Amino acid sequence: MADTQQQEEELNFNFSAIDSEALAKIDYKMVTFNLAGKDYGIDIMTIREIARGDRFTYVPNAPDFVRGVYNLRGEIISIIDLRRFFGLEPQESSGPENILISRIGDNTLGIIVDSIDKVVGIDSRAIQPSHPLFADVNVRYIYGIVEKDDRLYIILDINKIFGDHHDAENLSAGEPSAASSFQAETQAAPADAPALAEVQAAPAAEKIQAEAQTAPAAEKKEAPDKAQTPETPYVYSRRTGQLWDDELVKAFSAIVPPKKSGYLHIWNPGCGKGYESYSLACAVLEAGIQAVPKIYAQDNDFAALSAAPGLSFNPDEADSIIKKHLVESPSGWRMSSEVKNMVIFEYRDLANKHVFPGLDMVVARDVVSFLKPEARDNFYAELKEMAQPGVILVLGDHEKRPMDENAWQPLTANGLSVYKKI
Amino acid sequence: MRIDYINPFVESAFSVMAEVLGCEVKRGEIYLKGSTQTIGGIATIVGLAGSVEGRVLLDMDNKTALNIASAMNGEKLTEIDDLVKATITELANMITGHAVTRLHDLGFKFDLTPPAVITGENMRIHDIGVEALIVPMEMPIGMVEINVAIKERG
Amino acid sequence: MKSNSDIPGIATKTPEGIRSGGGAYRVLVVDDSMFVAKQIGQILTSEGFEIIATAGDGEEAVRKYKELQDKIDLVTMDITMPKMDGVTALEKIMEFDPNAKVVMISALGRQDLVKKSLLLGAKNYIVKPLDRKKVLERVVSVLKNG
Repeated sequence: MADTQQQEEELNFNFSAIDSEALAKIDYKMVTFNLAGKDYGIDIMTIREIARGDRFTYVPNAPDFVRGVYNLRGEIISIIDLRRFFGLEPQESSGPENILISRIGDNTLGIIVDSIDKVVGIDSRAIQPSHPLFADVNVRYIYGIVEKDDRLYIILDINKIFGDHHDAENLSAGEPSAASSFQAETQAAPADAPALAEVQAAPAAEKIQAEAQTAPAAEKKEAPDKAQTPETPYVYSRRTGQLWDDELVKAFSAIVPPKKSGYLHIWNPGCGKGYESYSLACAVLEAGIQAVPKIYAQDNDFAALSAAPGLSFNPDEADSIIKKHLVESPSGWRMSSEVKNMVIFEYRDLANKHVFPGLDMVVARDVVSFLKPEARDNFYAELKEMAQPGVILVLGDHEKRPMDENAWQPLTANGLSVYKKI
Repeated sequence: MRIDYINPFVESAFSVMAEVLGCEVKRGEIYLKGSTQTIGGIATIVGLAGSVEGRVLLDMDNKTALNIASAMNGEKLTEIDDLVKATITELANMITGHAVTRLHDLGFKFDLTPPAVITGENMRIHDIGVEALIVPMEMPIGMVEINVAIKERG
Repeated sequence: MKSNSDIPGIATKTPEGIRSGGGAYRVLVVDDSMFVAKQIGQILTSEGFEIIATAGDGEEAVRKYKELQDKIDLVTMDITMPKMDGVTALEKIMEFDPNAKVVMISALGRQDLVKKSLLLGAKNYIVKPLDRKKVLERVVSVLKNG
């Protein structure tokens, strides 16, 4: 009871209310909610209303995070499960779900979250850029982070969610039939509609509803410019796009699995122009393992990849260990054939399944954070399928632990983000 | 697909088709596909063996197939009969043969296997664990897709 | 000034497929593609050659060669065929008749195959797509020079 009262007080926020910092102002309001134990917020200007319900009309050929469609007073909207969209563990749903109805332009999306909290107003200047370590969620969806009343909120970039949802739908749909399947389904929708129309309005919910609907009119002048999503500064790993220095080479040499026979299969997705792949090859040679190393360097950027096999370097910019492996040729300094024979550059889309002859090590620095849901899910699925205990995984220096936490043990390794399959 | 394999296939498709068909050939943007839904009409498959496992598919609709077969035979063909199928198959064979020859010079030892031809509307080709590279070839007489999937042998 | 039409006899030329003594050179065409067999057939018959038989795979090629041996002046042999490939068929035919005249015709221009075929006894090697002029030149050169 006390709780509800407190919530009501907060919702009836008065602009001239007390604020400890004299110059602070409330110019950004967000609807906050909980997902997998963390607090999130979405710009209130994009939230039309909230709802509860559980009977959605199934849509065939849709990505797995699409739970179905729902008829909202004549408008057919997609309902997505945010846990699945972010690749988090899905939750067993018991009963009606909590849904944020979000709208951008002509597009409306229903977003299922664990629980909806309240409207929180903040000073937009307090929004910090996100650090990949903070969130379970792909950095691309994070607008920023803000602290308020001892709680940390991860503010989501709703534009990216809309955009990726739209892309994923088109991708999996493939044939134009997806659009017509939507049409076909929506014909059936009216019969199912009553289920969701039962919007169970808890007092807080009603208040949020009211806030959301009045917000646009009141807030327009003071809201931050939504047209520009600020660049979330992502911190890339050391020596990205360059040959590695001796220190980094040695750090990697130390973690290469000491396989004694056969082939040492290394998966290197997101290799780009190849600087990382060649440096990795030098590091593997430095480790002096007995198995024959094979590095599968993959990327979906055809232009960058085409340059990789013939990449030439400036020997003066190479540190001593890598310099040993450079040879002069008529077309400039290249990697020795010993190194080149170790690396196989492949044009590859991570969203499509790929079979490896074996897997001993994965070097995926600053890759997973940038993958779209489909590619990310496939990456983790392949990892799960192919990686036996003992496989070493290297993520970006600032990337967090792999999704399947219990299966990977973190290793301390000279500033690298390394894990071992257990 | 290994990057070294891509240009030989793209260039072979271009040179063989330009020579054999004698018309303007334009290459579309290449891309990757997880599983293949064919254009619908005719598809011929040439197998690849040796240091790799794979196949090259030539994919087009019936109208384009008839136009191509007519051009190659020097007479107007109006039905998808054995001659048309054999003609399209030979086109696929030559494109693949040229690519394999070029790859051989680059050090990749591939072999060809005899081709097969399939006809139908809603054909779906599912390659296990390997993506297909699509090279669209556009001509006044129609559009053909070269569809290559190659997997390295362990 | 004299022009061609003033000099009789120059305009007409004997078709390449007819031997000096009269009668056509007879060819066994081996290819699993009906289109290629037809194409080679058309090129050769337009120059007076006679296609005495065709075979769709290596096994059939060897069998027909043995059957029709004396009547065959030249064999065109595809490489990629089911049941038995062209290089193996070439080997068997050369074993049977060291004087056989076989010209390889293939979409594969791999150097190793060319060398292997020539070492096994093939007289020439033509890479597809087929050019009428190229085919006739090479076939004629094999027949004339043995």
